[in-house]
Amino acid sequence: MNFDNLKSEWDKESTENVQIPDAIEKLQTAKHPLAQLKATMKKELQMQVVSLALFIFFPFILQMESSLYLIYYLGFMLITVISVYYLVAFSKFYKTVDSFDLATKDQLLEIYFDLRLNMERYRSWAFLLTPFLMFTIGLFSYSHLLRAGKWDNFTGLPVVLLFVIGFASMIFMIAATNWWLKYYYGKYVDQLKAVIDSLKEDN
Amino acid sequence: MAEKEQAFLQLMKQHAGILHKVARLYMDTDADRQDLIQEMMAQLWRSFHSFNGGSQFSTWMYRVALNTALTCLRNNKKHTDHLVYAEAPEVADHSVHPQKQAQLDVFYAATHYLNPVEKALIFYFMEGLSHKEIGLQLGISEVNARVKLNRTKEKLQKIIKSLGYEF
Repeated sequence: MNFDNLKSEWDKESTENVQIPDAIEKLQTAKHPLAQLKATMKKELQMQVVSLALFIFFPFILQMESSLYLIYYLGFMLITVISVYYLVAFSKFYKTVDSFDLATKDQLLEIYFDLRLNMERYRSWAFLLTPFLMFTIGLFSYSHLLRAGKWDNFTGLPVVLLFVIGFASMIFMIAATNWWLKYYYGKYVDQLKAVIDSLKEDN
Repeated sequence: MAEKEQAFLQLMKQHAGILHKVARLYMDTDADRQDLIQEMMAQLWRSFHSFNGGSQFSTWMYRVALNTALTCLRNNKKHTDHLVYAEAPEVADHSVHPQKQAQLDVFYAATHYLNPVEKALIFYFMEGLSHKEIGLQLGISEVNARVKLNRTKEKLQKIIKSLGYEF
């Protein structure tokens, strides 16, 4: 066996197994990892919009004091403006139609940096949501203590407990975000990085 | 639109060999190969608007097909560079042209132990591209392409020998 023989066989190889459809819409795709990531992202975006919409009703669901509505909705407005910025950025990435005709290294680097940028955007957005969650828990606790007439005596251990719960929730949010990113994007991004690294100059 | 679509499908028929060979290099099973062929065709169609005829269609198609295959990474450790030769996929038994067909089957079986970039290098080498052209396609220097290709060819020879064939 040698490369010349192999090349000659390679040129004569049969291609009967390649089924070319008679129309483009008959192509069955969506198994490419990038397409799957984008599909996951689309579902997630829809979920985030629904969750954000649900926050509108939180003061009623949690039976918050009506005097606190103004403070709550000011906070909600702020987080909505921030979220819209991030959601628009995510949807732009989702809708990007990639032409895959750049030189391989450039193509891989473009996809890799787009994914990394999107991961960091997601992480920073989740971190920005955390203070709003703390703010909602704080307002809810204050509202219930006020209604029960316990606010004036709210000192000592219960205050410490409230802070511990708040801190634990914050840690949970951060850990969950990192896990989610690693689970859905991390593996693929690491594999892409490995391919890019193998294109570097050999020493 | 229909005209453009038909022209594209005609080009796919003319260059079906590229799809077949890339799929055979990058995927182990028939089902995975068919999936990759579909993905490559879909990606070629999505990118078709950017083909302006400045280069040969086959040169452009190589890039899109290989970029699709290179990004079609699966969570499968068999596709990494750290492989045990003893785990080589079975070589198909063809009775029509046993020796010649077997040679190509052995070659494909051996390429499954190469990493994705090495497979791309071997593909371009088999298609007859020069070091300069390979460098341009991959976005690396001509020298880097030559060094990598030589190492890949040596590696492939060793794998084939370790599978019990003369090279």
